[in-house]
Amino acid sequence: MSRSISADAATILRLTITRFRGIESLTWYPEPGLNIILGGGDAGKTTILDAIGLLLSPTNSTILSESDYWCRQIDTDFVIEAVISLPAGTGVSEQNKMSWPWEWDGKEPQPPTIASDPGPVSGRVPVYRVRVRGTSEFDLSYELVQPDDNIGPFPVGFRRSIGLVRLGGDDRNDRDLRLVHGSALDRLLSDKSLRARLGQQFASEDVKERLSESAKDTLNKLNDAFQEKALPSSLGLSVTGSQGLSIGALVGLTAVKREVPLPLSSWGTGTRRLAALTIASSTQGEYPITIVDEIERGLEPYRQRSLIAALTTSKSQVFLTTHSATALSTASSASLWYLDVSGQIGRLPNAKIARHQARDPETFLARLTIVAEGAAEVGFLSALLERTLEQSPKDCGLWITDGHGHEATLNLLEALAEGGLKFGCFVDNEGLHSSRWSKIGTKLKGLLHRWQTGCLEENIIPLVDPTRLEEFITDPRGEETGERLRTLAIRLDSSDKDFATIRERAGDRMIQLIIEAATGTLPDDKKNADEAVKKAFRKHKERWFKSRSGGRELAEKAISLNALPNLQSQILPFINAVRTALGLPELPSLSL
Amino acid sequence: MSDSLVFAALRSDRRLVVIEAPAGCGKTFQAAEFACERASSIAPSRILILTHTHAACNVFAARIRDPRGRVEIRTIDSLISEIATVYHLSLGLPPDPVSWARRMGSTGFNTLASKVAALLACNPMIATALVQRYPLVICDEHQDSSAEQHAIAIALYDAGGTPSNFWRSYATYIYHEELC
Repeated sequence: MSRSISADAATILRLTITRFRGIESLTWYPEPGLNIILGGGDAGKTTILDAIGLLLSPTNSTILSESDYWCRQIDTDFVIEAVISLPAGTGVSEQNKMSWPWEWDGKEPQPPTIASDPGPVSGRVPVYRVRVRGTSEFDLSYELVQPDDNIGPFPVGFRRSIGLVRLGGDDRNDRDLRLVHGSALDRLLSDKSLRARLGQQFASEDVKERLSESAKDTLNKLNDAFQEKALPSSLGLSVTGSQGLSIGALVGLTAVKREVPLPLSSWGTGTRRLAALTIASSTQGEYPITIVDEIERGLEPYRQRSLIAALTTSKSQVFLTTHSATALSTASSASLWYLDVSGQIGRLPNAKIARHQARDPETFLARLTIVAEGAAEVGFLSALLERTLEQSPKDCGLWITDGHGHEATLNLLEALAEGGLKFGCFVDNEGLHSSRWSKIGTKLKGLLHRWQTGCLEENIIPLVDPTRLEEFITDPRGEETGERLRTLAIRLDSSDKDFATIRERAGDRMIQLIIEAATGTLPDDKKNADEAVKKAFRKHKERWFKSRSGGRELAEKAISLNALPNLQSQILPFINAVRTALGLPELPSLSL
Repeated sequence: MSDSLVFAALRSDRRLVVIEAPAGCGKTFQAAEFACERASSIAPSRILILTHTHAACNVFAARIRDPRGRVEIRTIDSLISEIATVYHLSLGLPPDPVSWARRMGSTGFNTLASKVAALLACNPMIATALVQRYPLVICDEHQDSSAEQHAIAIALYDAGGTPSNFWRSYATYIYHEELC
């Protein structure tokens, strides 16, 4: 699964974020090449990109604010650390202080070992540990940790030589299109003395000559005043630089439009982003770490596809976030990651989720997703959660997705659990795959709801007030009531399809009869019947609750027909687990 | 070797140049001149001059004009000590291996050097990191090296010997004082 580490590009092998913004603690092992981070709103995707951006920041001018500290607790440092592979072209050997390599064991940087039999051990990857610490004084401290845990500096020159290209979410960000120190354009042109030459050129410009006559007079008077006070005189005016304002920052790339040269920064977001990326990838032998927030921003689908294709073939390690199904479907060879509501990041195994991804991409874009076994469960759960959350589930960032059957649901959940991700799950208990389910239960805990036995209908219908079964059978839309009665009558071999007759003939078996019809169960005496007959019996369930609207109807009836009090012990822990995951307090009881 | 031969040998494209000449032939002078000449073109990398004594360091320091700070002059023991300190966990030594070596008595520094030599032999990545930083290493009075010190110089040479790891040319220059 893992790709080999690039021999040319700087590659972050492990990223650790502690107490930075909304992330209390996160450890992530990204892959070389293209990494796509998915996840619901507020999960912290952009925070991860910002953390990488801050760690490799090409300036020292970042200003921190309280909100950069977890829970605004500024008295405790935040730390962003990367274990990073730095091949020769990344400037690691050109710094003032020697940076000594650690050995990467796939999980941790280790001091290299001496093997008992002499001779070099192959396959060892040299890595470096760099970090940035936000201190309680709002200072940023850039550090490089040597293999004896001694801490040296990780200076801005080093960070610039590793390189960072950032296509941020900020609409006004055009840094890489200007000659700012360390920008993509600066690195590409790599003309170190240009600023000095421009400075000289500007300094020789006599601004005084361009003054109006009255302004010249005023300046001359000032000159006299200076002379009187024995201050330096022969005053003039010229362009002078000042601290913090580089002449380079005023120089931007332009392109001609309708015969007028216009700064590229005045073009649309999409063009600016593509331009910045093209500049970065034109620098020979440099493969800066690239971060792209919301790749779809300002780009039509066809340009999203071409940008993804460019990023996929780039040698650089790339980190991007997206909400775009187009971008996602193009990035077939990317490593997909999901940041869940609890702040855990895990791998989404492309092959195992591809089908679901195509069917219901929102599954991977919500804050918390619950995989329900089928359409009925989706409807049932939606109705239930609408009444047990203060807001509508969708407004809370909750997404309920149809797992399309028991097997597909189980496979999907296993794939998600493999990534250690927090998903909810609402399924039947057909007595199958117990050990696989118990593994998922261990991971999801309260977020897994699996009936103690049987399916949704088998659990709800017996709890309905037996004196109100006619109400239960009645389709509120008035469409299926007759058909439902027919499915019951057929099962009783009765030609009378009125409720009273059916009720009477079914006797004690009435509840069981409804369950069998609603689940399309084949009666024992029809086991050897023609296939067509069997099929007709199985199709009975379509008249009942096997759809989203049916599941919703079942939930509403369970509530109105008093089934829920008996269900509380089974359902409430699940509802509370969902509430907890969404940051809501637990409910003491189900009062609907 | 005559002055002109030494001059030419230093500027040849051989990766390893060994200069043998009697004392007083100007080897140190030539080496210092050569380091000055290369100092500007080797940037942003560096030249490492390894000597056996602090006195020899001072001789080189007095002769080298290096406004851009591309030449580092140190004793080979100080390099060994630095590696031993940084990798003390790998070597199974306390955090201050130099004090440890002193406490071990007369064989202390030799033991240290042999441990470092073994570390470099097992982990080419360390020597690679060194030669990426110092593509040019000048070993002064190399005949005075112990076997362990020689092994460390050879580890550097070997690390530069895999050009795929490194895009610049690399050379180790070993000075040999001929017994005359």
